[in-house]
Amino acid sequence: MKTALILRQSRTILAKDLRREWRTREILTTTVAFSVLLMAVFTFAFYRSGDATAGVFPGILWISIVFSGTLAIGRSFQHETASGCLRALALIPGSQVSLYIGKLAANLIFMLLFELALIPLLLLAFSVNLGPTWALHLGSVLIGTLGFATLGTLVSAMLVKNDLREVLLPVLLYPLLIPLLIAGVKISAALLAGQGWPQIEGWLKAMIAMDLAYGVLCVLLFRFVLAAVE
Amino acid sequence: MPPRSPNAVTLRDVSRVFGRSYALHRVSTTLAAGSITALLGNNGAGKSTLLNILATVDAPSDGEVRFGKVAFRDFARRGRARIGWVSHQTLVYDELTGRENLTFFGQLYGIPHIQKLAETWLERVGLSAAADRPVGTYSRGMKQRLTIARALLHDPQLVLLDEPATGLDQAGTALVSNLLGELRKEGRIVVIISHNFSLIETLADNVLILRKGQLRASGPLPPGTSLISHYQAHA
Repeated sequence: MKTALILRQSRTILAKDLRREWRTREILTTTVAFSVLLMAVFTFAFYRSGDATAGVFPGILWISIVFSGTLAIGRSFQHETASGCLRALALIPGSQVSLYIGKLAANLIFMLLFELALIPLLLLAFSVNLGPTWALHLGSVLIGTLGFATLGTLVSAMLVKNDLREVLLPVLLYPLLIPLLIAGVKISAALLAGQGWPQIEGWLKAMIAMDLAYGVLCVLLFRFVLAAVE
Repeated sequence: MPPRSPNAVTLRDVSRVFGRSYALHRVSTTLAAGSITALLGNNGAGKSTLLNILATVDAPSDGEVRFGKVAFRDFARRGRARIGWVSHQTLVYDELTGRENLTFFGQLYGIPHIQKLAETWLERVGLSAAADRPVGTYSRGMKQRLTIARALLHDPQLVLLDEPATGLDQAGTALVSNLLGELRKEGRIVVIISHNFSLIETLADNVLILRKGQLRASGPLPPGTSLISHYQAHA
């Protein structure tokens, strides 16, 4: 019964965020533009012909995802406080967990959408061919993005009423993301070096475990975060 | 029809401390069902703090608040659906239309046939013609009408109104006045903060006047006394 309520409310919050984004294009426009700029800067700074590219590409890929994702996630709770809607939501029974899940789903969709633009551009700019392991590449990016959105949604909510939120979001978020990023970069580097599933299995399992741990922790902590900021 | 719950809200020696200063100091009163209570006081008197405690978004530092027989903590956990709140902020989304806002909040409350109910409320607050326009294009008064509809959409028993007549024209103020009368008739507990003394004078059954966090007057307006003189004597 409670699960059905949470799912229904989460879907309602997700639909509202998607409808709002469709009308304002506030998050996607800025994030995609920022991704393209990042790609251009990295291309000029790091492009080398031949195999040298493979050495820097994993780092560039994950840094681009993290920087652009920070921009997207940092905006996710702003419109909830602009006219006090966070307080109205806090008064609705069961809505605390639903708000977190709905926001997480919206953030995940926004991140996957800008990654759809970012990743092909990076591959083109650095002349990288993912080869037969492309599915493993995309799988690791998907798992990494889920972990990023899971943690980022909670930290973004924590900072929603803080005047220094733009500065504090990366300061608080990035240290928590380091294990996930290390795993992501290791997987991408291994796959680009021609290695396969046996070499990345451990790292991928570690990423999934981190996603699960972040998820449980964030769902448990969100109601306290909301109580503190409402 | 089963009796509405809670049938009263009781505050006993309620204090709220911020740092070293008291925003509220030992406030005791009872808010009864089927009555409208006006909360008056100068800026910083503690009106909004008291309203926040009644809305359970803030907790008293000391003293006891009971919603019927339910303690504050339990009501904050399980009873919030029975609270309708018009705050000084609009609590609606500018990018959504009036209809979408009501439908959104109604769906979160799990109200069946929400489209029909939203339509009824839009008509009731005079926003039918603007129902499909984004709220960002509304005037302040229209936003306030929508805010009132949002606060009452889920049939709350405890209705908390912080300056509900803000931005409203004469017709809007008359609408609020009629709505408040209906809420009283339906047996709800209504608490209103307003500087619109003519609205309060005609509607309020009880007047609470706060001064520096302390309750200076409580009860019906004394016969033959105007609200303004009563206020000036105590605030």
